[in-house]
Amino acid sequence: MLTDITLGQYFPGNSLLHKADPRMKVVSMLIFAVAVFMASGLLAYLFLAAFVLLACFLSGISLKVILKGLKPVVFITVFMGVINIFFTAGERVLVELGFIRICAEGLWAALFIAIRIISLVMGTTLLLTYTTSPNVLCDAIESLLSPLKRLHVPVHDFAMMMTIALRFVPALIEETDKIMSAQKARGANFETGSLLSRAKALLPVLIPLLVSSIRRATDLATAMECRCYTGGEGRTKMRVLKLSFKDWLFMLAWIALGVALYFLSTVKVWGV
Amino acid sequence: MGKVKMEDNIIISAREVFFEYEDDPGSRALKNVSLDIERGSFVAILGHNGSGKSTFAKLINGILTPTSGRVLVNGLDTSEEKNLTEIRRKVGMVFQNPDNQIVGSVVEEDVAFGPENLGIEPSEIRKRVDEALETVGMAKYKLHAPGRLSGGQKQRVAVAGILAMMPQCIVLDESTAMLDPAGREEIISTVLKLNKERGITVVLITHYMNEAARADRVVVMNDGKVLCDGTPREVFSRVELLESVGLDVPGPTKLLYMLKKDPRFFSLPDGIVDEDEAAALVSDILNGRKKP
Repeated sequence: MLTDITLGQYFPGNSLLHKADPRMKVVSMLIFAVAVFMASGLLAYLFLAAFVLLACFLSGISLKVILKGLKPVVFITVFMGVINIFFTAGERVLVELGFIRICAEGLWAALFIAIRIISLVMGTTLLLTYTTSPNVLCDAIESLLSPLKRLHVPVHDFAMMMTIALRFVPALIEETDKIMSAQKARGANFETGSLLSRAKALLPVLIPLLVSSIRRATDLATAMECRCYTGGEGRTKMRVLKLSFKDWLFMLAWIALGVALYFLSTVKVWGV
Repeated sequence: MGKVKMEDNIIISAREVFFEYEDDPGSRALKNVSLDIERGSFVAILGHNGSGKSTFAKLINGILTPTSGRVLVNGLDTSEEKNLTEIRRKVGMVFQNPDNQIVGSVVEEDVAFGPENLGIEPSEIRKRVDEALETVGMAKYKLHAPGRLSGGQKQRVAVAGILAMMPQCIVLDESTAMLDPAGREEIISTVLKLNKERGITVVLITHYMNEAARADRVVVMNDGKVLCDGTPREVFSRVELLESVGLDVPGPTKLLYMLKKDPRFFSLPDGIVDEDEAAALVSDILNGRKKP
């Protein structure tokens, strides 16, 4: 049950998106997020949707998997859509029933907001979580933030903490599962009862988990020290991130998307 | 710099070491232990819980420092902070719990952790990582997540992580205690190979007799002191002494010891640890008796 959780689902592969430099991907992701909010008008949104679908295709990850990943945003998308349908003031009224008033503008707005949310989620997950292994992502963030080292921000330490946290997530999930099974075997009940009583039932799980995490942390700290870890200073990396011409082109593509969306937004089709 | 004169063939030297845990004063985990470990040897340190064997292991690379006395590694005193990095790159340590000593979320990244800390060139790290994984037979798992490996495989990854730092000595602090028999065998045969082929000194802390029997030298500890010290044969021939402190001798040794009480088997030698050798000796006597 608990072991089914996968954090930041990563699908190994060899596509264009997988091979791009992770730092460029982080920067591209930020550019993309801004670009999405630049869009307005039918043409711009269609272009955005087409661009994201192209990225899906290039990632080599099946559309089914990607659509499955959209489950958590279905509710918010529908909710935002409905709000837009009913509450957008417009001139081209389609239906009017008492206080309910639906206009064409509302329908368009609902469609646009749906495209916006879905492409934002699809674009960012495709760029980062689906095609970048968590460790590489940590490296990229460390590298991008390295100028902050001059301001004495402990960038390396944060990156190391992130790496270790990612390493221990599966171990802790497994441990929680084990403790819960042990408690169940002794008659604990996690599934029924009021919310309060279920929360109370979790307490005997959390305490042993905390104790064992602290023990693990102590062990790990000793093991790291024994392997000559003394912090970021004088440390090298086996995997060196190197930017190639292709990586710059990759980022340029996302900038081009932003620019295209900006100009397409000025063109009106069917009055939207 | 802080070097103490020491014979060249000695890698680790403990001199009149006393140790008390700070949170338990008067505990006396070690009471006057003096021990020299020769370069290239395979030493097993044997003892049951609370005998001080694990404390001794932690003194070797400065995780703990003696309350009095000194521990020298290549002539460097472990109680001097500035020596620690140098000592730790020469003496690697594999711990008991395989899950709590792996830092990376991918096998090869974990193996690279040590050399990365030493500031070695990326291309050289790559080379060392591949070679270390090859040596312990884990090369095909280099891109796996450590969580999915078996206990024995995880410990082999830990050994590879140490090997990549090119140490002179590996200390296994009860590294086999949490493994199943197959996993234990994987680790012991791996370190035996490293000892024989590369001349890496191995210090094996264990409470399994049959593991200790494969070492060149066995040191038995009891109640914070060295009880006896010698080749496996010498040590295991002292069955009464070992049993008096609650330690069992290996099965074949025990069998021959008991057989010897029978006058027919009086000529049997002491301290045999190898099963085949024991079987041959017994069958010789039995067959000899059959012949006129």
